[in-house]
Amino acid sequence: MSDAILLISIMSIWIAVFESIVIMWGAIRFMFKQNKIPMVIPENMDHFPKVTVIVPAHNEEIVIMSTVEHILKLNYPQEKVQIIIVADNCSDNTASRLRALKEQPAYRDRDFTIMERTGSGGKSGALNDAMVISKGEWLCVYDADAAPEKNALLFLTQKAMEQPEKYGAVFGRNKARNRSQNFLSGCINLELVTIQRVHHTGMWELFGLGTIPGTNFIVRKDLMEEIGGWDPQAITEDTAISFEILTRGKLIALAPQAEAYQQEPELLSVYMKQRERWSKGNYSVVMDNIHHLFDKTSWRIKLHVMYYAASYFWFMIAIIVSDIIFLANIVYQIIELFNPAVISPFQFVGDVYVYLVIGWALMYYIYVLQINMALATDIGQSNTRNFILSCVSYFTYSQLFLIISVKAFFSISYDRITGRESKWYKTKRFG
Amino acid sequence: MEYTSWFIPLCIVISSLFGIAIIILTIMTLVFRANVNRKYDRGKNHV
Repeated sequence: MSDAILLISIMSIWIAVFESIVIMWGAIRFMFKQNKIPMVIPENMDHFPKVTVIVPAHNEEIVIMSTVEHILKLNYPQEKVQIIIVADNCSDNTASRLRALKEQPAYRDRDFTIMERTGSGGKSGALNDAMVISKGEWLCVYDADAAPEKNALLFLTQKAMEQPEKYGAVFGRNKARNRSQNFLSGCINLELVTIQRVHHTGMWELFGLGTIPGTNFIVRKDLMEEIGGWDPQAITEDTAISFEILTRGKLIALAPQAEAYQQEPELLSVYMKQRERWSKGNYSVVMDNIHHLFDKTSWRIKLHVMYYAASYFWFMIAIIVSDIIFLANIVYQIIELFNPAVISPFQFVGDVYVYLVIGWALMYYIYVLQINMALATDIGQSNTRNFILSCVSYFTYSQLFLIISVKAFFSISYDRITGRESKWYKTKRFG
Repeated sequence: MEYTSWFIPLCIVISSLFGIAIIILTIMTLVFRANVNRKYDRGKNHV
C-alpha cells in the first residue's frame, strides 16, 4: 500500500515538474520575442475605441483618491473614456471624497460618474449595475487599490485592436506597490511576478490561454451582455468569467506592457482570508467546469480545466502525501535512535525513496528558477535580497498554500453539503 | 517480479531528461538576464 502511495506521489511530482518546464519554456520564448519589440505609443488615437472604466469601491476611503487620480491621468483620449466609480454600500467617506475630487477644476469636464449603490451582489453586483449605464465598446475594470501606469489602458486597447473579433478580453500585469513593506509582502510580490511573468506568459505563448486577473483588464461590453454580466454568486468572479469567455470561442489576450500597481496584504490574517476566498473560488470554478473535460468543447477549455484541477486538487494532494511520508520518516528515524524496535510504516523497496527526494529537488530548483527568471524581466527586481527570498519562500510562504488549500477545501465542502452561502471577504487596505 | 526492475530505470531516464531540460532553462535565463542588464545598464555607476 505504502509503495503504491509513493509511486503515485513520485509520478504526480514528475507531472508537476513537466508542467513547470513546459510553461517556463513558453515564458522564455515569449520574453525573448518581447524584448525585441519596441514600445510604440501612437500619436493619433482617433481610431481607438470608447472605453468605460469601472472601479467598484466598498469602504475604500484610504486608497480611492489615488486610484481615481491615476485613472483620470491615463494617456487615452479624454472623450473616449467614461469613468464610473461605484461607491458600493459605503459607510465611510468614499463617496464624499470622490465628490470633492470631481469638483476640482482639472476634472470638472470629464465623463466621471459616482454611483452610490446600496444593492447586493458585492463586486459582481457593482460591476453589473455600472455596466447598465456604461457607454463604452469595451469595459475596463480596476480594483479600488489600483494604480495603473500612464499607458496601461492604451496598451490594453492596442492589443484588443490587433484581433478585435477574436479577443473577448485583454489583461495586463499587476505589480505589488508595497513589496518592500515586510517579509509577507515581499513573498507575495515574488508570487505575483512569477505568476504574471512565467505562468501567464507561458500559457499565452504556447496555448493562447489567459485568465482575467480581477483588475487591469478590458472586456467587450457586448460579450459581457451575452454572458449575462458578472455572477453575484461567484466567489472569484474573474476566474468564473474567464471560463465563460473561453466557452464562447473568444480568447483572453495578454498585453504585457499594460501594468498597474496594487496593494498586497501586509498582515498574515488578511492574507489568509483573501487567499482562502480565492482558493474556494477556484475550487468552485473547477467543480462547475469539470464537465468540459467530457463534452465537445475545444481543447483549450479542457486544458484550462486540467490546469486548474491539477493545481488545486491533484498536485496539492500529491504534495501533502509526500510531505507526510517525508516527515513521518524523519520522526521515525529519530525515534529509532532511542528505540530500534520501532520501524517506520513507510518502508520502501530498493532506492525508490531516493527518486522521490530527487523529484522534490527538481521541483524546488525549478521553483527558484522560475521566480528568478520572472525577476530578471522586471527592472529593479533581480537583486540579492529577492534571490535569497526566493530560496527561503519555498519552505515558509509556499507551505501556507497547503494550509489554505486544505482549509478552503473543507470550507467549500461544508458550504455545498449544508447549503451555507459563501461569504465574500473584502481585502483590508493599508494606509 | 518486483516493480523496481522497471520503475527505477524509468526514474533514472525521467530524472535525467528533467535535469537536462532544467540546465537548458537555467542557461537561457542567465542569457536573458545578461541581455536585459546590458540593455538597461542596470545598477551600474556612471563615472
